[in-house]
Amino acid sequence: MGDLHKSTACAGIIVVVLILACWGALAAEQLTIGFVPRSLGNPIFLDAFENAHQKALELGVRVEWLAPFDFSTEGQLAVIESLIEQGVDGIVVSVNDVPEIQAAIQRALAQGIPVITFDADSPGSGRLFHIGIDNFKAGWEAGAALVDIVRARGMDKQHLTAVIMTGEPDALNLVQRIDGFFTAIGGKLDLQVDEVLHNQDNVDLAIIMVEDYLKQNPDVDVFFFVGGWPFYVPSDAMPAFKQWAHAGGIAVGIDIFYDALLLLRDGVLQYLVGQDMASMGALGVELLVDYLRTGRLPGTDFVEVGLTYASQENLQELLQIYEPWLVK
Amino acid sequence: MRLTKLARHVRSGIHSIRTRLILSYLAIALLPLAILGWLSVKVYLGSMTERVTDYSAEVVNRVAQDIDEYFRDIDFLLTRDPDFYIDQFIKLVQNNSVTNSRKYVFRIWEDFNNLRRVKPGLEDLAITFGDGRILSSYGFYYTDYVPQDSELKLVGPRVNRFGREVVTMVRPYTAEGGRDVWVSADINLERLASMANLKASPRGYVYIMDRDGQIVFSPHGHEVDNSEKVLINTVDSEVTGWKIVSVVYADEVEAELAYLKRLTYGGIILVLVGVGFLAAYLSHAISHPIRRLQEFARQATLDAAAEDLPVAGRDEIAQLSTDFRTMLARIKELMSENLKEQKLLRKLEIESLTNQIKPHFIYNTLDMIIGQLEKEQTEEAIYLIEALGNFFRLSLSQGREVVQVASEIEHVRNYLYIQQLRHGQGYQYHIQVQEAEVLDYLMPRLLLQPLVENAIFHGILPADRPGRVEVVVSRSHDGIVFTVADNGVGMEPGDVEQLNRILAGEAAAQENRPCFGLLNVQKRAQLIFGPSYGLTLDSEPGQGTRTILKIGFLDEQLALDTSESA
Repeated sequence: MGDLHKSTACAGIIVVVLILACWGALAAEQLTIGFVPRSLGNPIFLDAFENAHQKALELGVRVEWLAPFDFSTEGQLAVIESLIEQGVDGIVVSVNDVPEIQAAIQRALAQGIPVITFDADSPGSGRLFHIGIDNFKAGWEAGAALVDIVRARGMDKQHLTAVIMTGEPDALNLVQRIDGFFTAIGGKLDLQVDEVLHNQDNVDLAIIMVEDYLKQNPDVDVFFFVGGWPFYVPSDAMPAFKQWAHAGGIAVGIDIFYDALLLLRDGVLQYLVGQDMASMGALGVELLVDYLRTGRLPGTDFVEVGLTYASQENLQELLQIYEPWLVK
Repeated sequence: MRLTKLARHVRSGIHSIRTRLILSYLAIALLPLAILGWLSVKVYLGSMTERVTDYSAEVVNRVAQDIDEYFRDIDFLLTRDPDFYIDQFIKLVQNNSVTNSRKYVFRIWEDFNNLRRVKPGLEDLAITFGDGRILSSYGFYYTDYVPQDSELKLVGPRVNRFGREVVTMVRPYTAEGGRDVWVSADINLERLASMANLKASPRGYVYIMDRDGQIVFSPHGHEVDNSEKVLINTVDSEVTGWKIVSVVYADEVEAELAYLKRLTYGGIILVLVGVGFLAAYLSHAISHPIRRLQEFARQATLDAAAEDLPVAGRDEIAQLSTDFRTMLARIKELMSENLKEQKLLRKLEIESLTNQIKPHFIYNTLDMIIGQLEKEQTEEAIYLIEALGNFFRLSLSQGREVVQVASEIEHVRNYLYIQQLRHGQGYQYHIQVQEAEVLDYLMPRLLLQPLVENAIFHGILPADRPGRVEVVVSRSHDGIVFTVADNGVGMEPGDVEQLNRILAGEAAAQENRPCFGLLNVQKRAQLIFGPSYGLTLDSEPGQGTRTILKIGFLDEQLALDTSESA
C-alpha cells in the first residue's frame, strides 16, 4: 500500500513537472507576428486588426499591429525596420511595390524573418506568399456592374466622362483593380477618364477631393472608387457628391462596410465590390504561424479571399450582416 | 667712437626743445588715455561679466520656463478628463478581448496622432498595460518597458521603438479600471534641443541634467565639455525637476575683453601717433624759428649778416627774432662806436702824452738842472731830477691807462714843482685833497696836467705878477671833482661862454684858440664816463680862472677793461 502511494506520488510529480515543462516550452516559443497595414488611419484595415488579434489569441501568439497613421513609404519602412530590430518571428505587410519596401522585406528575409503580404502585394520582394482578393477581378466586377447600370439607364450609346479615385499610384492591388475595371468596360462603353484623383490613402483627404472635384465638375458622368476611402461618412456629409449622384451621376467602387452600404442605401453609390479584410487578417496570422511552427506553406503564392457584391438587390440583407463601425 | 658720438647726439637730441615738446605732448596724451583705457577695461570687464551672468541667468530661466510650459502641456494631455474610448479599450484589453474594439482603437489612434500633429516634438502617446501591451499612435504592440511608478516620472533619454531619441513622461492612468495602466508621452530630443537652443555667448550652450546628475540633453551628445574654464549658471525646472545649465566659455569673455584691450591699445597707439605728428608739427613750428634764431645767433658771432635772418609770422618767436635782429644791429653799432671811441681815446691819450713830453719842456728842465749843477746847487738839482723822473714815470705809468688819484696828484705835483722852478718861483701852488679816501680811487691818467698847464701858461704867467695855482680834489655823490683854480688874468665872459660851448660840443674850436689840451681832457672824460661828466670853466677877467673836472668812479673791472682795450 505504501509502495503504491509512493508510486502514485512519484507519477503525479512527474506529470506535473512534464506539464510545467511543456507550458514553459510553449511560453518560451510564443511567437510574435508583426502586422503592418498600409496605415492606421484607413478604417478598412480594422476588420483585419480585430480578426488577426482574435486568431492570435486562439493560436497563443502575439500580434504587433504597427503602421504610420497616414500612409507613407518612409513610415512603413521605419515600422518594418523596427520589427526586424525587435526580432519578431514573422511579418505580414500591405505595401507599395516599390524598391525601398522590397529591400526592407529582403532584409527581413535575410535575417530569417518570413514575410508575407496581404491586401497589396509586393511580388518582387521575395515574400513567401500573398493573401488578398483577386484585385483584377474586383475591378472587372465593378466595371461590369457599371456597364449594366449605364445600359439600364439607356446611356450606353452616349459618350461618358469619368473620374477615378485611387490611393497610391505604386499600390499594385489598386493598379490591378483599375486594369480589371477598364477590361470590363472595354468596347462596351465610350468612357473617357477626365481625372485620376490620388488620395494618398488618406480618408479625410479623399472626402475633400471628391467634394471639391464634383463642385467644379458636376457634369462628370461616372465616378469609380478603386477603394472605399470616402465611404466612412454619411451622405449628408458629402453634399456635392449626394447632389451629383441624385442628379444622375453613377458611382461604383470597391470595399464594402456598413457606412458604405448606407451610401448605397441613400442612392449615392450604385454598386460595390467588397473584399474580405477579416479573412486577410485571420489568414495572415494563421498561415504564417503554421509556417513558423510546421514549415508548411499554403502551396500557392496567392491565397485568395473571396469577393462580395452589394447593390440595391441585396442591400437589406447585407445591412443585417455588417455592423456599424462608428469610427467616423 | 661712433657710439660715443651717437650717444652724445642722442643726449643732445633728448635735451632739445623739440624733443622735450614732443615727449611732453605724448606724455600729456598718454597719461589720460592710459588711465581711461585701464578704467575702461576694468569697468567693461565687470560690466561684461555681469552682463554675461545676467544674460546667462535669463537664458536658463527662459529655457526652464519653456520646458516647464511644454511639459505642463504634455502632463495636461496625460491627466485630462477620463476618455471614454480609452476607458472602453482598457476594459476590453484587460478582458483579453479585442473583438469590437475597432471604434475605440481607431479613435485613440486618431486622437493620439492629432495631438502629435498639433504638439511639435510629441513623438508618441501611448497607453501601456501591465502585461507589456501598448497602444500608441503607431499601433498596438508589446514593450519590454512597463512602468511601475505610482506618480509622474520622466524616463530617458532613451531610444524608442522606432529609433528616435526621446524622453518619456509617464504617469499612472487614473480613470476607472485604470489599474496597472500607464499613459505616457514621448518627447523627441530635437524638441528639447530647440528649447535649449539659447546660448549666452557664441560658443556657449545649454544642457539639461536630471535629478541624478545624468545628462538629459547636451549639444555635445550626452557629455559636458569640461576641457575649458567655463561660467556656469543653473536653474531648476519646476515641472521636470531637471537642472538647466547654461555654459559660457570664460575665454569668450576674455576674448571680448582682449578685443576691447586691442581696441584700446589700438586707439592709444592711433592717438599717440596722431599726437606725435601733431606734437612734431607744433614743436617744429615752435622750435624751428628758435633753431633758426639759434643758428643765426651762431652765425652772428661769426659776423654773419644779421639781415639774413628771415622773420615769418606774428608770434612771440617772430617778435623775438625781430628784437634779436635789432639788438644785434645795435650791438654792432655799439661795437663800432666803441671801437671808434677806443681809437679816439687812444689817440687822445697819445696826444696828451705828446703834449706833456714837449721837447722844449725837456730841454728847459734839463738846462735848468745843468744850471743848478753849474751853480753847485746839487741838492736842488737832485730834487729836480727826481721830480722830472717821477713826472715821466707817472706819465708812462707802465703803460697803464688808469691810475690811482694819488698817482695823478703826485704827477701834477711834480709838474708844478718843475714849472715853479722854471719860472723862478713866480707862483705858488697848493694841492688839497678834501677826502683822503679819494686818493685810492682810480681815474684815467694825464687828465689833470693839461688843466694845471693851462692855469700856469694862460692864467698866471700872462698876469706878470706872483700867482697861485690851487688844486682841490673832492668827492661828490657821483664822482670825483678836481678843481684847478688860478688867480691869473682870467677871461672875458664871452670867451668863457664860447669855451664852455666848445667843450660842450656846441661850437667848433677856433684856429687861433684850438684848446687842444682842454678838448683832449673833455673828450677822454666823456668817452669814459659819459656826457654828464667833463670840464666846465668859470672865469672873471683879472681875477683868475677855475677849471672843474668831474669824473665818475671807476671800478676795478672797468679800469682793467679800459686798460686792456687801450
